[in-house]
Amino acid sequence: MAETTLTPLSRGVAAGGGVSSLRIRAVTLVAILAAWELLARSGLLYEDVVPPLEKVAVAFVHLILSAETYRHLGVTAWEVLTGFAIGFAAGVAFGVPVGARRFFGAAVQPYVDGFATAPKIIFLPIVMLAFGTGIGSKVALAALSAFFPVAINTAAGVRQLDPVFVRVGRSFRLTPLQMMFRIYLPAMRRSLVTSMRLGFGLAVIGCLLAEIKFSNAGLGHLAIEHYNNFRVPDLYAVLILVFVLAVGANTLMARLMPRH
Amino acid sequence: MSRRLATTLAGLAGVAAVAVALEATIRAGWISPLIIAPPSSLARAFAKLWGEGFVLQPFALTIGQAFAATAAAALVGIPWGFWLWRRPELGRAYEPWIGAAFAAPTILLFPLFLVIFGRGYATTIFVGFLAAVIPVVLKTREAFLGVPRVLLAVGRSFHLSEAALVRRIAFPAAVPAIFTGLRLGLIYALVNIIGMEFLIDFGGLGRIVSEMYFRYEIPAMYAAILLIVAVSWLFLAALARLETWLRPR
Amino acid sequence: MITDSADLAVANGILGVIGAISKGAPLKIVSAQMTGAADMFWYVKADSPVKSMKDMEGRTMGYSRPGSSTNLVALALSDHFRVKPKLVSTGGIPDTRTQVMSGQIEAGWSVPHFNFDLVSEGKIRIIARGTDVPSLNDQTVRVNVAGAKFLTGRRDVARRFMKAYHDSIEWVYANPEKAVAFYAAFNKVTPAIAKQTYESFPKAAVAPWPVKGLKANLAEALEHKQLEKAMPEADAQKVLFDFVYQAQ
Repeated sequence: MAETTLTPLSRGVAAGGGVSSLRIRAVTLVAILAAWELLARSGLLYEDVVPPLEKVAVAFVHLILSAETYRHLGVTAWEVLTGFAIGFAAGVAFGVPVGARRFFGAAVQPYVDGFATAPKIIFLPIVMLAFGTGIGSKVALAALSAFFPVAINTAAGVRQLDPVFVRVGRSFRLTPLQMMFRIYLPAMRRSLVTSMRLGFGLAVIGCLLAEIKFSNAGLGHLAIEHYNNFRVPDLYAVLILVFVLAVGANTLMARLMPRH
Repeated sequence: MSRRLATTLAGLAGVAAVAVALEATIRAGWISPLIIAPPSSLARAFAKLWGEGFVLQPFALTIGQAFAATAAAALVGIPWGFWLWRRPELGRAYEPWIGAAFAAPTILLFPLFLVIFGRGYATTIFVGFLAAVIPVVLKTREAFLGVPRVLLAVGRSFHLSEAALVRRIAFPAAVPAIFTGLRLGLIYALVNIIGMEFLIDFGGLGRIVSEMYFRYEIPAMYAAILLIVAVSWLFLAALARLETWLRPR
Repeated sequence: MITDSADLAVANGILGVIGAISKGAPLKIVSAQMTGAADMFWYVKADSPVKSMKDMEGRTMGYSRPGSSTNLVALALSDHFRVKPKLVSTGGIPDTRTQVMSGQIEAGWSVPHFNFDLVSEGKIRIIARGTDVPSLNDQTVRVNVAGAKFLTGRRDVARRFMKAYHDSIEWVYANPEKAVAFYAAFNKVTPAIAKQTYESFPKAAVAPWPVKGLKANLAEALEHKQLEKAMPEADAQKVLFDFVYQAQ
């Protein structure tokens, strides 16, 4: 059999590997694209539901060059950022007391877990009843999506705080607000950063799913319009754009805000 | 009174207080009952859902899909994660991709799957599968990587063959962490499937929410949403309980 | 409209509207949008052995959602042609198209202009239309609704809008060529498809008034659980309608 012995991964190798890793990834990528092209032209699936790469590329170029795209992108970006900001602030504000007060935290934990685990998109009808079918409902859903991971993470961060910090704050008789801004938040930088990345990712998903289900603006709406009119290569192009932007934003956050 | 009991009661009291406050605000006319269903209407709405068969059968459908998706994820993901450990150069090469996939919004690609598979179980289970397979692969590889070298050294000192080393030492040592991966996978599958059911109006619990909204039966819609929240929590709690039971520390 | 984010909504299934109003939604029907089912059609793949509704015995036939107008028309077609196809809920038009083209169901539903491209490419064939069942022409299936607040608070605007709606319909049928060109540009379809779309809608079908077939609609709404209990026709006349503008 293989000469590879069962050794655990050597810690000396940097994550992502060296040149051979790059080569492996490149070869894999080419293989995937080739398989795609084969599938597209094989006639196994009907009607261009997996279009040849060329059609997707052309559609993507049209997308990038169209002004309408940027109008929709602007709407989505606004919804995501506003919703995330609201959800993040609310999540931190709620998470700190949940973490700091053991009894209160333990009492609300199951309800927070339940709402946190449930897919937020099912709250869309409630949010639409309350805020209408426009931008407000998308902002609200993005905020809701961001709120829970931020709250849970913040609570966990507070629980892991060195109790000395809290005692120092109390000894100075700080008000709860001062405790929040001078003790808790500065000591929890790392967990706040994690919260931010998690919350932002979920805000993006929540907002886009809401746009896909019910809206008349935004990238999600653009995607579903193409779907409804069976413009399949355009649908692929929009979803690729969304994916690239989402992954890009996440990578950017990872670079700008490393864990330590 | 035990602390557990005290916090549970306190939590329930809190929920009751919120319900009473909501009921009062709605009756006072400050919030429209067309937007938030009065809590007093929920019991009857739930009974109606039950009577129309909108609880048990959709529940079974949704859970069934989640298990199917996770089973598929296990069949694909465990060997894949094992292989990524067995061939460290591949493991290293694909690590950033799998990490990125974990953070990527795969559910957003669902219109593509709709187009390819049509509006049916294939799409919902596929989305569930995608959501589950990534943590399974990740955790499986991690599990094998975490097998203590000492154990493998002992095995080698007994001149065990490669295959025997895997079967008798590495795999059993990796099982707990693999199970964690499956547990995560199951939850992700369930949540994504419910989301998909809502989005495409098909399937079990998620579809019920959408259908009640379209029928403009607001109390029933709230009842269905709360049911989903309860089911999500139950699943999470049950799986966590199961895991602690399986690995006594 | 319940949340005031829209004052007026066109083309709503009448059963759903009846249900919503019966549950307290602050809406009123201001006009009919579609009477009869002239626009609906069912199609099969070009290589299918089915040539018309008569061949659909035991074969799968799609409709959008239980209780929808497509559901009703599918049932009506089955009764009229005395066949028993297997009716399947297939969701929206694009979902249905996928299922037909991938062979999951035999016949799918559609309305213009969707799927006309496939017809002109010869990839699908139309096997049934709503007009095949003459009795359907006497039932209004879709209506336009307006929010109660809008109707009381800005009644003059509502009236002028409905007049504009009525006059627009008159204009379309008096100036078909211009209308077709406009439709083609707005919906990004070819002029040929736009013309076919125009021909699918006889003027009588889109007449805003009267709203026909109330008794049948109330019965169907009850059967499909949009209505929790039967609503007498006299009550319905008062509760459902507010024809803020009606041409003579």
